[in-house]
Amino acid sequence: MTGTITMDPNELDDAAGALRGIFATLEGSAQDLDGADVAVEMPGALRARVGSEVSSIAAALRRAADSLADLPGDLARRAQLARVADTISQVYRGEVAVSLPAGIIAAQYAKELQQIADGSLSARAVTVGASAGELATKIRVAAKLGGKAAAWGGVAAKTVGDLRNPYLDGSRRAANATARAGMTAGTAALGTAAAAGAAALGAPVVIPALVGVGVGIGLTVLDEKIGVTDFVADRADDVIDVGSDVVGGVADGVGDALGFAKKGLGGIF
Amino acid sequence: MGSSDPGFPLPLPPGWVDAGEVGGCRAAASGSALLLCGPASGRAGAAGVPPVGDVPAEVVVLDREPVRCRGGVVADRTLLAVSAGSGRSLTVEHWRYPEGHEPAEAVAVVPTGAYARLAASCTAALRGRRGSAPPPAAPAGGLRASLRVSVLAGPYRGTGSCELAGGRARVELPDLDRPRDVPAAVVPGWLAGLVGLGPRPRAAVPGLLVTSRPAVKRLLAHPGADPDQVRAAFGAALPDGWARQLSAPAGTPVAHWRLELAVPAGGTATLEVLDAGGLWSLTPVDPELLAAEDAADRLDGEPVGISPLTPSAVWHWLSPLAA
Repeated sequence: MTGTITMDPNELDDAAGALRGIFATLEGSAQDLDGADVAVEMPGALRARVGSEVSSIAAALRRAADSLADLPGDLARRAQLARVADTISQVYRGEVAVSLPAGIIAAQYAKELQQIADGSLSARAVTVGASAGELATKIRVAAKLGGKAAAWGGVAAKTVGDLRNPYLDGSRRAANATARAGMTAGTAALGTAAAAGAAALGAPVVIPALVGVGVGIGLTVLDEKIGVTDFVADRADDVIDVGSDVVGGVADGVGDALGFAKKGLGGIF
Repeated sequence: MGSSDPGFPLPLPPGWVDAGEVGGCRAAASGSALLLCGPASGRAGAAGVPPVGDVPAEVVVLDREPVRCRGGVVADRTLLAVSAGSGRSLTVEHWRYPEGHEPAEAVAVVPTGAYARLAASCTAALRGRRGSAPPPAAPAGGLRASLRVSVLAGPYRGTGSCELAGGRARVELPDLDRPRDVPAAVVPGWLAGLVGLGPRPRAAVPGLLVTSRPAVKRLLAHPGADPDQVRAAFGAALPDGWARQLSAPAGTPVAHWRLELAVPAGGTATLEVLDAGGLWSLTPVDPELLAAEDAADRLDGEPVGISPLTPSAVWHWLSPLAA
C-alpha cells in the first residue's frame, strides 16, 4: 500500500491535548502507587515482593510520564509551525522557496518551518473515487445531450434569482452580460489577456469560446447526472409554466441521467 | 486510437484518460475534472455542446498571472468561477499559450467543491508536465461545518455566518436582507463577491514577515508611504525588499476580512486577509516561536506573520466549502 503522510495542525493540537491527559493520568497513577499501602494481611516475604513490584511500576509510570512531559508543548508548537507554513505554501503552491526574516523566528524553528513548508500540509480525508475512464465515456455521451441541457437551461433562467450572487457589483454584472452576449453572437475571439486585464479595471469581460465550451460540457455532465432530477423535483411549477416542449426535453434528460445511474456511473461526482 | 489520431496535445498526468474529440475540442478526463484543448474560436456550440451563453451562469474572473511552463513557454493563466443558475458551481482554469504553441489554449473545468483536490493535477498538465495522479475523492455527503465571516473593512462591513451540511448552506452574511438557504456550491462564489476577490498585483517578496498588529495598523494609516516611512511604521530594521513591497499597501483602499471555519470533530481553520495593494495573509504567531523571550514585547503587540497571498490561493481555501 502506498500513501502520503500528511500533517494537520488541528490533529497535532488534538494530539497535544490527548497527550496532556495521558501525562496527567500517568503522573497521578505513579503518585497513587507511591502512596499505596500494601502491608495489610500479607506475609512478610510477599509484602516485600509486592512492595518492590509496586515501586517498580510507579517508577516506570513516572519515567513514562517524564518522557511525555515535553511532547504536548512540542506538538502544539509544531501545530503552530504547520499553520504558519501552510500560509506560506498557500502562496507558492508547490514552488515553495521560503525565506524567513533573519533573527525574528528562532533559528531552530525557522529551519523546521522551512522543512514543513517544503512538504504537503494538506490533511483532507480521502477515499477512492470513480475511474477517469468512466468520466471519459460519460463526457462523450454528455456532448450529444448538450441540446437538452440547453433546453432546460432556458427553464432555469426563470428560477435563478435567489441563487444569483448578491455581491457582484455593476461592473461584474456587465461583464457577465457581455460574456453571454459575446458567446451567443459567436464573437468570443478576444483574448483572455485583454479580458482579464479589463476585469482588473472593472471593465466588461468577454469570456473565451473555449471556456464556454468547457463550461457547457461541465454543466451538462454535472446536471445530466445529478442536477436534472433535483431541478425537476424542486421546481415543478416552473417547468409546468414553461410548456410541454421543454418539459419533454427535461424528461428525456432525466431518463438518460437515470440510465447512467443504472450503468453504475453514480460515483463520478 | 488510430494511427492518424495525434492524441491529447498536453502530457496527461497519471489518472487522466484521453476522451477523444468533444465539441470540437480535444478532451481528457480525470475523476470529475475535464481538460479541453482548442481550437475554440467560432466553434462554441459545436456537436450539440451548449456554450456558456446558453446556460444561465455568472462568470467572475478571480485571478490572472503569467505562468512559466515546460520548455520556458510563458502562458497567460486566468482563473474563473462560474455559477450556473441551477446552483452548480464550476472553477475554470483558462491558459492561453504563445503564438505557435500547440495547443493555442486549454481549459481545465472542475466542480468547485473538487478544485482544491484536483488543481495540482490540472495545472501540471496545463504546464506541460506529467505531474502526479490526483488524490482520490472525499466521501460523499457534503461538508458539515460552521463558518464565521468577519468583514473588518471594505464595502460590506459586518459579521455573518454560513452553516454547511449535506450540500446545503444557511447563509447570513453582511448586507443580505435575510438569511438564505442555498446550495453549498454557491457559497465560495458569494464569499468571493463579499470580499471582492479578483485579480491583484503580485507581491515580489517571498516568505513571511513577523511583526505586530499595531505595526500593520500604523502602516495602513500612512498615506502614500515610501519605504522609509514603512520602516518608521514598523519601528524595526526591515529588509529592503519588504520595505519596498509594504509601501504598496500603505494608504491604499483597504479591505480586511477573516474567515473562521470549524467542523464538528473539532478542527478549525482561519484565513485572515488584508486586501491592500495586493492580498496579504495575516497569521497569528505564537510568541514561543520568537527568537528571544522579550521579542513579543519589543514587537509592541500581538505577533502576527504577514505574507503575500494570491487570489488563487484564497479560492483554493474557499472552494472546498462547495463540497
